[in-house]
Amino acid sequence: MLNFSPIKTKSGTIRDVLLSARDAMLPEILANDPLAKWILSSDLLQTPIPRHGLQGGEPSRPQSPLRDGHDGTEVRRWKPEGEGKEYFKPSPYDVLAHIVVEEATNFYFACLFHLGRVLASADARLDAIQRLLDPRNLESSAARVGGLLEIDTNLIRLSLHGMCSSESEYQSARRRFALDCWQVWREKVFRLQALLGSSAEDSVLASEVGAGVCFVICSRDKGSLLERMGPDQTLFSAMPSPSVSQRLQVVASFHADFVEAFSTTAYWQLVTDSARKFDEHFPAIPDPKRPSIQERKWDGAAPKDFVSEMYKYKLPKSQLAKPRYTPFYPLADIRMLMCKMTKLFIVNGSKPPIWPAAKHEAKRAWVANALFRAEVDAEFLINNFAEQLLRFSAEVSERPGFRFPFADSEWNAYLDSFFNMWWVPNLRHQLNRVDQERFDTLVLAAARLLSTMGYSVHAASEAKVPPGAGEKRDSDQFPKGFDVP
Amino acid sequence: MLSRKPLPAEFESIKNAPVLEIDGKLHSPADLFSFSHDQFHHTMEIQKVLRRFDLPPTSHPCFVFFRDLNDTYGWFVGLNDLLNLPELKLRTALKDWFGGPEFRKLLAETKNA
Repeated sequence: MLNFSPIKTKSGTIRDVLLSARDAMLPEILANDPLAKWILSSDLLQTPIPRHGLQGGEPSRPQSPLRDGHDGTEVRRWKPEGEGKEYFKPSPYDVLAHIVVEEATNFYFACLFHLGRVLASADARLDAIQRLLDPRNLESSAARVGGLLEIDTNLIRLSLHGMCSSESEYQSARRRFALDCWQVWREKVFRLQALLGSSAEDSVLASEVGAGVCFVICSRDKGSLLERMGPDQTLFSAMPSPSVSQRLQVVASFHADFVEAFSTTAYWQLVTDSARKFDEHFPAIPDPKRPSIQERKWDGAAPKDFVSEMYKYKLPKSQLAKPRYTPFYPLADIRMLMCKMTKLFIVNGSKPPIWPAAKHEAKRAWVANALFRAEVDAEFLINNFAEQLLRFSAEVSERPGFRFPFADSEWNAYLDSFFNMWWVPNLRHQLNRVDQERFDTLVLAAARLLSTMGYSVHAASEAKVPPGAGEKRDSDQFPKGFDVP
Repeated sequence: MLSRKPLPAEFESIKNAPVLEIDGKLHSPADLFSFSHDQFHHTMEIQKVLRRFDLPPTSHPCFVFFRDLNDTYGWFVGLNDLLNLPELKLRTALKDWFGGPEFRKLLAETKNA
């Protein structure tokens, strides 16, 4: 019979107790680390949960890295219709960034506690063994074991010595291994944090991104900012309090301009040279779809339609026309070259030719690039959704009379329609119904992630999917019957 | 790859017996040399949590129910009676308890709290 009894906490609320217990589980070296604190701040325990769920809850001060303004200001969040306050209007980039970062944050959160446990248990073992080897403890233990097993105490003492020495060696190795992992963890989280620009001033990565934005600003303001901002200054030191949305939109425009630069002959020469260096550096990457640099022939002319070539790259091999030249490279190459190219443009102060058609592809490239950096493995969940969302936004915004949904309720209806009418059927088509479990998992995960950000989407049931919507996937056509709110 | 030596044969028969003395406290060889790294540490972690709820260190396994994270009160249910039950019986016992009068009484109490 299980009986219950009331208890009362003496040191604050249940939340305080759980947070304090959580922190006590981490060794000091981990608990005091600023990066660990940043990851820990994403713990939902630290975010007050409304009693009646998200729909009716009081808006709370966001505290996690996903909910905070990175400059310490409060990010305005979506709030249900009719509550009369001005709120942050999410852009597709916010959605993407949140998905990318939340996936990664959850992973590093779990890793942190695993490493903490390994370190703490190794330390505890080493300490216990050290104390067991104390002559007094060793003597009494040997006598006790000897008496029980009826073996000579000296032999037991020797045996215990050997066991302690072996265990100590093993636990020390475990500890070293955990500390090595901890350094890797810090490096990864540092890069993740830099991706959001949280520590832009001292971040190499943010400096890369920032340099790119300098270029954009320079190109728009006829170089006036170039004189004031050196290439080492970052975007975020130049912008006093940018929101995540602002950061990402500026970065996205940078990439748009960056891809426009692909149409210059000089640029392609540079890309080819750098790609050759890349191949020399990483010769062992086995990818049958990716021709080696020797097979790539470049005739010296700029590609006429970079975007369509990029799309060809994604098609099955049977449908892929043999290119006459080598205009496309994996995104990894582009990523590697980005900083170098950008700085080159900054130094030259030149403005690349305008190529509006490339903007969408550039945004997609940015998303894929962000994923590459964050090492998030959720290709359908994120990359595909990202691409479709961007493509869809670009498509519908060009329709006559289209007005982008600015109100919160409109935006949510828009996102909900997009999610259920376009992304879900497409995902279903791509998975080809062979992996129902994966399909369900991904759809639910996407719905959950979006919901945690305040977007009221829900996973479509079988009945809600329009007939025929998922049967054919045409990159350029959206399903019939779909309309924007 | 980290590897370790197994316990000497003579210790196998007493690996769970509290025979190793460290500063007056007795520990079993399994506590100090077991292959399950967390076995020794796990109990300490549980005790840290229990201490914060002002519960005795031996009061586990248990449930601690609470209605709201911002409350300062909750309900403790000790599960000592279910220790060492086979998994099937454990499932049945928990199912019975959650569907039984005791849990209904607890729910009623939380509503009135």
